[in-house]
Amino acid sequence: MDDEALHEGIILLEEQALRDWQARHAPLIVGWLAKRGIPVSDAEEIWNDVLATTVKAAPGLNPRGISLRRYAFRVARNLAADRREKLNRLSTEPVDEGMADPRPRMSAPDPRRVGALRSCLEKALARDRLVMEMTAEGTTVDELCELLEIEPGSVYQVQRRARIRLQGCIDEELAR
Amino acid sequence: MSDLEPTRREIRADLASNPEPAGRDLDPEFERLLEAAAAELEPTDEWLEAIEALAGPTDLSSAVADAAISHALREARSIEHPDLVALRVASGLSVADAARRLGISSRAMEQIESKRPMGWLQVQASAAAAYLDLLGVRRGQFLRWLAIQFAGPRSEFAYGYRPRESPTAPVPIAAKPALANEFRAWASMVMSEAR
Repeated sequence: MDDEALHEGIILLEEQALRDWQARHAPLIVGWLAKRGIPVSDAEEIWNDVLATTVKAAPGLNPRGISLRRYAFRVARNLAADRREKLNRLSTEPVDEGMADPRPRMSAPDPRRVGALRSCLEKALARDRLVMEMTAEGTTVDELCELLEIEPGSVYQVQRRARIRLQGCIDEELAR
Repeated sequence: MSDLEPTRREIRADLASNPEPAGRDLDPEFERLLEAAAAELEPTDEWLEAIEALAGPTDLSSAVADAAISHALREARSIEHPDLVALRVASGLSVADAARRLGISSRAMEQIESKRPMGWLQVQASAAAAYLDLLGVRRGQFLRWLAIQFAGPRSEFAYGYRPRESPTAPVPIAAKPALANEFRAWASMVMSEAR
């Protein structure tokens, strides 16, 4: 069954279509999450939520087929980011109210700049966007070497070039 | 050809022939901006291929796979019923107007709007698609709701009174593959009908 037919089957809640779609995508998504440092049991829980959310959203997604796959990966990426943040959170304990908080305060990045970068990434060269998205994912230099078929020294160059172009684009966006 | 191949070629060409863009200080906040911005981007084909190339596939155990399917089906079945009558009225259509658009009798129209939703299968797919669009009902949403009505009992067996037979033994419910196929074909036509 091709991706479009599977999407239709999922809209109609055909169990076999769900099973086929899961067999095609679950190993990849769980494997990807595990490689990004999410424990396999957590990755399986994330898959559970990804599948339920994707099946629920299927009737409204277009074009048939590819949109379902894109949506699932997007949900997985966001759930993984939430899970990673939870895993990285330091343990907390009550502090004496009279004491000053010794930790440096970190404010959220300026939403205008985030919006500008998002818009820049959407219209960036495909190579810049891919390299930056993979970098944001936490992809290692070795993995980028393998993926882009270039030397490690070139990976730093490619990242730097993409970043300089995007920084220039952010400035232009904000100046508008 | 791989979706990544053109990207690889462009990168090699850029490294070989273009000077680095005008030098400037790197923004120390860039990583945090990138993390926040990337999370909201729609995945591209290149990104999906890159992820697939790097992921070491991990098989789900059959228990996890079965649980995920049951959970997804349970969640998806809780969708809202599209109120076709209210939407028809809001669109300024009487039962007779709607019936004319769908090419059925007024009586059949009343039935498919209420107690006999499977009667929709008697409506021409193109007319049904156009009617749903007119009412502003998403075709996929409507078809899913219809699929849930069609699915009927969740078990292959039912209990019930049967004259001259033991009333406590479950009887198998006959499958209706012909009707299931008819529904699948009709739904597929409704979904693929041009807007």
